[in-house]
Amino acid sequence: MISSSRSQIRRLFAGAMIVVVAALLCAASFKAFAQDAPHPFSRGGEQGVSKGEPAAGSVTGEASFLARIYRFSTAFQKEIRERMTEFAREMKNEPFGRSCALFLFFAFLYGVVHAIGPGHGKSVVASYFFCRPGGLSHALLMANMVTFIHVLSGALVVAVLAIIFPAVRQTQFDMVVPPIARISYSLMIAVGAYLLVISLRTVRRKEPEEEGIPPGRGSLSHLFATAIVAGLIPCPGAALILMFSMLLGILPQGILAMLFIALGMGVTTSAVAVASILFKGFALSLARGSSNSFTFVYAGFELLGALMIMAFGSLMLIGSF
Amino acid sequence: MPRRHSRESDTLIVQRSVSIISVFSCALALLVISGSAHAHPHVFVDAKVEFLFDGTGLAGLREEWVFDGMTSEWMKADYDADKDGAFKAAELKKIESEMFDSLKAERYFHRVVVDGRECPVTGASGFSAAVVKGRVAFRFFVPVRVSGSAKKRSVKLRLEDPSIYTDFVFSKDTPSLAGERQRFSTEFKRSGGAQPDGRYIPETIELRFRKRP
Repeated sequence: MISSSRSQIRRLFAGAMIVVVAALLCAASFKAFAQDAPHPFSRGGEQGVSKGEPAAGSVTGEASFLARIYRFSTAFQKEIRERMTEFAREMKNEPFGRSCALFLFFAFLYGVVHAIGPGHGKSVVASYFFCRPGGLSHALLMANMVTFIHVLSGALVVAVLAIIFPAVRQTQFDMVVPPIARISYSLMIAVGAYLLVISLRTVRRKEPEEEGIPPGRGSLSHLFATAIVAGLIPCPGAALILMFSMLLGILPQGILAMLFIALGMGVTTSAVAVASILFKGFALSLARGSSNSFTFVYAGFELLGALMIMAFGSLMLIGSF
Repeated sequence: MPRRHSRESDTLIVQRSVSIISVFSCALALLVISGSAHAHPHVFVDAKVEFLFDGTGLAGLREEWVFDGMTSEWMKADYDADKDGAFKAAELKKIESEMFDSLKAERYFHRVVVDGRECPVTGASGFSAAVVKGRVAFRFFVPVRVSGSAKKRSVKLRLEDPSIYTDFVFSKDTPSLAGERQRFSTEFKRSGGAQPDGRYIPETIELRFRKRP
């Protein structure tokens, strides 16, 4: 009896720890998820240095693991952009030759690395698969939907700006993004709230859906709705490449590059989605021996995922004003 | 009775889950708020900094910011009106008023700490811009007056855009010394950094100097 009770406690503790680690991992990626700032070289002091300024004494120290990843991603993006600039200049003379192929290859790489940075819907995708069932195909479908809509949204904003203005610049793009982002955050709160209601019903019914079982039509509509809402925010990185292509007079190659950037970003986001599903499956398999701990961990994931989507939408909406 | 027990147990599980998740959400909220400065860099700058000395001590920083190729193309399209690959006086004036003067409110992205105390940068002078190997470079001088003495003085410098829109990296030949540096004994230290929340902080250069006897 005592042994069984201890085993249950151990399983419960392991389950709780896994949920905590999952929450912290999501929180770490969430905190890095923020709206892009306006162009500092033209904002006329809207945002002073005092905002978020660290204390004078904290100027040195060893970079953390996350900071190193951020540094690597930034340095790599810089290098890729330099290469893309070189190939774009060469394409003026040879529009669809070797330079074009390399430009598109680096656009794909740019997408992969750009998506490692904050934003681009990774956290929403990870949270979604915490609270909703899904297999590998759903992970790939949702991740690529988010990134394609994200890039398409950025490209559409640039297209509309190109109709209005004779020359499209980053400053104009920066002015348009905040209202669209606010719509996206508001819809995210609504989707998160809806998923929370579903999760609460599932938890109360105590009918855990087995992982790997394909979601029904209703669940697929949840997946599509969440992907559309998360992808709605225009991708500033993709928009920048498109505007740059227009500037150099290589618009067709720029449009092709959008496709390759979306594919690249899809690779990174898919990896996050698959990791989320595997992680949840692993946590549930650990807790499967005990009915109580299984229900506890299952309920934790159900509510945590939906709450994270809601919390993210709410905080980003508040932060955007 | 067992049915009632089961319901109570279910309610307890839901209550536990909700309370734990509420705590997670609060922690999450704090993290999101504290990390709100995170964003993507879209402008990349290689910064070369020269510490300029005069007879009394450090006079200021002579700097060159070289922008990435993509940003440079934009600048050339917007400001090199005659497309001759160089900025003439009128074009320079326009760049200065539209792109450089707006940075004053940002203290030109400088964080200067002298002997442990914040020393806000209030101005910059001698602005010029040029195209070097296809990339646009800003050159200017930032006055930072620190008098030399027998006691060692410390000057820490970091270039940081708090919105993360601009990414600054010190060039390999930074820091260097200029002016009447022979009057002072100097040493440098370069270090990267991170805040407790894991946020990356750009590299910091520390200059320590004292007057030679």
